[in-house]
Amino acid sequence: MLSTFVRHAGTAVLPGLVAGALLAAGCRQESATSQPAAAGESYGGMNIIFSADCKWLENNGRQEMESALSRFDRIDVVYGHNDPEAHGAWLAARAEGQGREKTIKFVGIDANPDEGKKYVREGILTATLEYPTGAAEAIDLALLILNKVPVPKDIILATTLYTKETIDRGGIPVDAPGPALIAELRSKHADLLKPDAANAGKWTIGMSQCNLGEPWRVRMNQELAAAAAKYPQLKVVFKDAQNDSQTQRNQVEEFLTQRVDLLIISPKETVPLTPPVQKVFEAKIPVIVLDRRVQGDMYTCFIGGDNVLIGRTAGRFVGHLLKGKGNIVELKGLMTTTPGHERHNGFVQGLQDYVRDPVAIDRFFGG
Amino acid sequence: MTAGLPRICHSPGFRAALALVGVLALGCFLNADGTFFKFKTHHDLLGAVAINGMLACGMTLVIIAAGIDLSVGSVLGVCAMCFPLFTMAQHWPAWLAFLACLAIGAIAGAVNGALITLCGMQPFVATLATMVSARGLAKYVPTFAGLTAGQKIQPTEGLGPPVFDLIDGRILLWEAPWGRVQLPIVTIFFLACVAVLWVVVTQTRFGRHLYAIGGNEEAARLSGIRVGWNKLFAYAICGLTAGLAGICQAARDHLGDPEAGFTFELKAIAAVVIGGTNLMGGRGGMLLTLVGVLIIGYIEKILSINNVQEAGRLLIQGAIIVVAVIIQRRRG
Repeated sequence: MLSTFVRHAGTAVLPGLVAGALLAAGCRQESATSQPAAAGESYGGMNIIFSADCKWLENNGRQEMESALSRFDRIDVVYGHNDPEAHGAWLAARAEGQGREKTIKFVGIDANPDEGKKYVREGILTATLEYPTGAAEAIDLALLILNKVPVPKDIILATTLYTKETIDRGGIPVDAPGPALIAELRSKHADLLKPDAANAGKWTIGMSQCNLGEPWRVRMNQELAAAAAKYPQLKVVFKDAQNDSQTQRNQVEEFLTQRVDLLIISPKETVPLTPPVQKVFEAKIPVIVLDRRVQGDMYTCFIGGDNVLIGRTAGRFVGHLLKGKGNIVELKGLMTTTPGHERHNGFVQGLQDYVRDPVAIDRFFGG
Repeated sequence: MTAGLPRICHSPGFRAALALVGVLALGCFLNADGTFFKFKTHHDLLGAVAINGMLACGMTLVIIAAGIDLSVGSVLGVCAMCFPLFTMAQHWPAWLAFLACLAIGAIAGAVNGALITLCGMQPFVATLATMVSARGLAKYVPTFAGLTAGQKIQPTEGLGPPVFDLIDGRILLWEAPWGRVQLPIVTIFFLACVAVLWVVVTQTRFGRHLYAIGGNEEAARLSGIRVGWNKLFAYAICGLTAGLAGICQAARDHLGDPEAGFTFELKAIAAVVIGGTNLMGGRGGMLLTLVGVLIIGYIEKILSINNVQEAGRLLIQGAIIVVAVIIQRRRG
């Protein structure tokens, strides 16, 4: 009987021990690196005490924030890599029922008018940073390109920080080289940037979007459609690859077969989409690349925001909020994507900037 | 050869309970500076598992009848969009919107059942098709509120109609000196699902018929059981629980997200399987699923409070599923 018991207990317990060992190894290793005093997690008096990959989703932001709230009594700022994550974190703080959502400050990124900006106006988020889609710029540049005007190869868009006090006067702008180039082109060629009803539907633009499952990309497409509506001579055909690189390759090749006059593409991934974009470019069809890059230089123009700049501005702003001392919870986006890494690295640089020069940064954000 | 051990040790319930006790013990050991022992951690967990739990309850019925329903995540998405549509955009009274969303879930489930019984499709294929179409439908819902397809439905004032806070709220059970013991409302919905479906599965003829169908469908048919209607009813109930889960998800988010529920069906199936219900059908039960849901929930919670990074989490969760299923294997 004893041997039978041992056999049964063994077959039940042994897998459990293996799982337990894995779990323990995972937890011990991670909790060692998440100690606030460890190198890389502490900047001046500001500590990133908890950080988790929330994959851009609000649900995950809420659940990770619940864990952070259970574990830490003192949280000063929550930095979410996008507005839904920050919103989920706010809901978690509110669900606690002890008013922590009022003492903790929440910062997000995206600034969609019906999401992030709305949350700032309602006092849910302390600040949100604009991740510009570049849509309006893309349409204007498309019209210039179709009129054989040379355009710069790279246009990096600026960002804007919106807080409750500043949102109604347009937020606090943070500069980048792109807007000046665009403004110059627009004023120089204002005669071309006019609606031309006589030539309605003259040019067809193919727009390859990687994933309309993301609200930010829904906004990008909306802004593209609205900008194109101003010019009757342009017709835009939208295709959505539903977050699949292979589908997007096929759709780009379809645009090539249909011989669109210009291609606008926001690729899902750099490497798989480079060959089809190259084929389109070599067929003498101009290509505008939006937001995510392709490799090499076989495209007419790249327009995109700068996630490192956005993260850095967020870091500086958080430093300004904390006045150099406090506990930060970072809710990251999907860390297998470049925006996730750039928004994190930029954030850390921003915190370090504040430690180096608090006075100038305080002045920039208005005291 | 298994003589000597009390019979209870061979029951799937015992093994499931053993696995749960094991996970709780791990939590005590890896308690993240005492976080595991705080009441808040457990309140949050009960709220977080409720949605997966409701999906898993309906899924248990379908799996007992040797079927599968891959569309529960998308049906959750449709109802998570319809509830804000009805309450925020169309200003229906809360109870009407609630019942309407449950009805939508049940109808979606009945569509699955009809495709499987009337058209003779394989459950995997039929529910795969409805999974894809329902997701498209969920993205289409915002157009009824004057928005573009795929856009979120946001509340017009504040955090939305009061029913959202009501469902996302908690009930104070006991004001203990060392902390407040609260139960989230969504957990009450979940436990109600478990209770009602436990009665259905163990005490009604319909429940017994499901076990028979799952065990041997031909034999069940020959013994006079109306296999088609019973299966259809099981899928309809699965859709109904998905609808309830969708309402709760919308309430927790305080908005309508067309991507709500994406890939939730996988976690629901994992909860049923880890609990001990056999995917081949004919065996299992509601209480096993309850234990399975808690096991998955606690593992996620332990990983979360210990701040384990993403790669490690995925590896560990996969390993746990394998381990749990090995423990559940029938011997002898």
